[in-house]
Amino acid sequence: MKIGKMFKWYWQNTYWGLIGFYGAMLALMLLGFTIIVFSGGGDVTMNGFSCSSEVMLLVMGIIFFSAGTRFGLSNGVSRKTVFCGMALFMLTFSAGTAVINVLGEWTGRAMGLGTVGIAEIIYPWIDNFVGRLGIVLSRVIGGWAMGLLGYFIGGAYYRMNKIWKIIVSITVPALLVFGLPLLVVAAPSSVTTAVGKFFPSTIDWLAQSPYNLTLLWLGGAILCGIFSWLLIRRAPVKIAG
Amino acid sequence: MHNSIEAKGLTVQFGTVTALDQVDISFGENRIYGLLGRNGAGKSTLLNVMGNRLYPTQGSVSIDGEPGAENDKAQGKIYYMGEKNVCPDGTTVRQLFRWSRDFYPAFDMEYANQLAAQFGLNTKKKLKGLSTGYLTIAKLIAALASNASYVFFDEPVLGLDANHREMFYRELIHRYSERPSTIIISTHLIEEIADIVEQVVIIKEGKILLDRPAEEVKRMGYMVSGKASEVDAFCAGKQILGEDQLGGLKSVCLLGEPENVPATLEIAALDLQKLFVQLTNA
Repeated sequence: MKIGKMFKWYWQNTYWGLIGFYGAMLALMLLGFTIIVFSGGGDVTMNGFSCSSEVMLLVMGIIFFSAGTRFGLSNGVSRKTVFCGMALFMLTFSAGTAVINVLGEWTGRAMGLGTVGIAEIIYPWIDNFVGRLGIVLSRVIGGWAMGLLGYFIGGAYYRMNKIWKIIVSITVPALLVFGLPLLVVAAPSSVTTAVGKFFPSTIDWLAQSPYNLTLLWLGGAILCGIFSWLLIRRAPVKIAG
Repeated sequence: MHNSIEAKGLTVQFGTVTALDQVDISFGENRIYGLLGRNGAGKSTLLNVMGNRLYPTQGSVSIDGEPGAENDKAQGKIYYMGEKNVCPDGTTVRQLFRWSRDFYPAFDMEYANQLAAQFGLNTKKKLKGLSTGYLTIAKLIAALASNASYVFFDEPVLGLDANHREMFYRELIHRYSERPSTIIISTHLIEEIADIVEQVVIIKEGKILLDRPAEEVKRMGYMVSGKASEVDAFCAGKQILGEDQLGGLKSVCLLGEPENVPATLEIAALDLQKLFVQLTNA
């Protein structure tokens, strides 16, 4: 299998984006630091590290399906290698960004910036190594899950024909914006009560430990991975134009 | 060990359209094949299935005795040069060569750079910024330098001017004589490849119509030319493939072997394009 070669290819198509992203983050940190210095100790908060990299992974996943499938299949690489290379790269990339993000947040705090991650807001009581490791792990798997979700979305669009693309592009946002609120209003009270109980209890469970959050992300990653594999396993090389 | 690509019972359906219909074909070691067919005949579909770029509805492909589908090792022996660009938008020519080297370890970088200079191709340019002709040249160079055991050229001279086409054909023969491999050229420019190909495969409506050595194909018929009235008299009752007339002179392509040809008429080998047109028109 040429997993290593595909991994390298994904990396070669990503590192400029990564440099740009962290360059922008560094510029923001320096800007915040400059403001603090010149304002004589103002309050500057930035939490871009927490979810910006997950959004980046989502976008990467969307792009990777078509780009990787076209390139891989046209260069003697099988679908399973294209897929495994992507999954491994996403996991490694997510781990790398999680570590950089933690270091970035520490650096930010040392510079006097308020750089608090979402996980630290959810788990403010964690002050030991195992807890902190759980937070980092939840970020790694969270980023991976977002990347695989993006890959699934990219794959779904890649496999759809033009008519289905239009239908899905209109109906999914419409359902989310109008359909869900209507459903909540129209649903019988027993259903809304059950849903109302389910969400708070799930959030309570997640708030107990970052390892619970990691498990949730892992479930999402596995689900997106399975659906993505179903999309790629018979995918042809499709080139627009 | 069978050094060939063997397709057995290949069927590809796109909705109600059957692009390939129970195709059985073998592409042997170190030969140049001309894969000919009209638009939509199934040439690209056949190449795409053999190159694992498309899944067949039915049938299988083996490469040197190994299953071809989803097999990295077997597929690594095939280099597919298609019409469209498969690299991401920002890819430069140099990057295309580097990636080709990554995925095809026998890729000859020195030869690729030498060819780029010969064709006047700037390797620092992005593929997206190249003209159709130069994009084709970049892909041709990568294919020639790949040193893969099987190289598929799907419309290899798209957008190339006559000079560059000549250069490509010359380079192809030169490379083939130095490092033989199995080359499959799918093209509509039959006359241009007529003298290069060793085996002719004609595909029509998803079925293999003809699969014979080029020399044998040329001997399937002959061309007779001379005064129109004499040519007409000679051709009466014979199987005519096609004819051309210029003033009082006429040339006619006929099926079969030349027999009892009057001394006033000239005989020449059969034109592959005329044979193709005749076979695929019927």
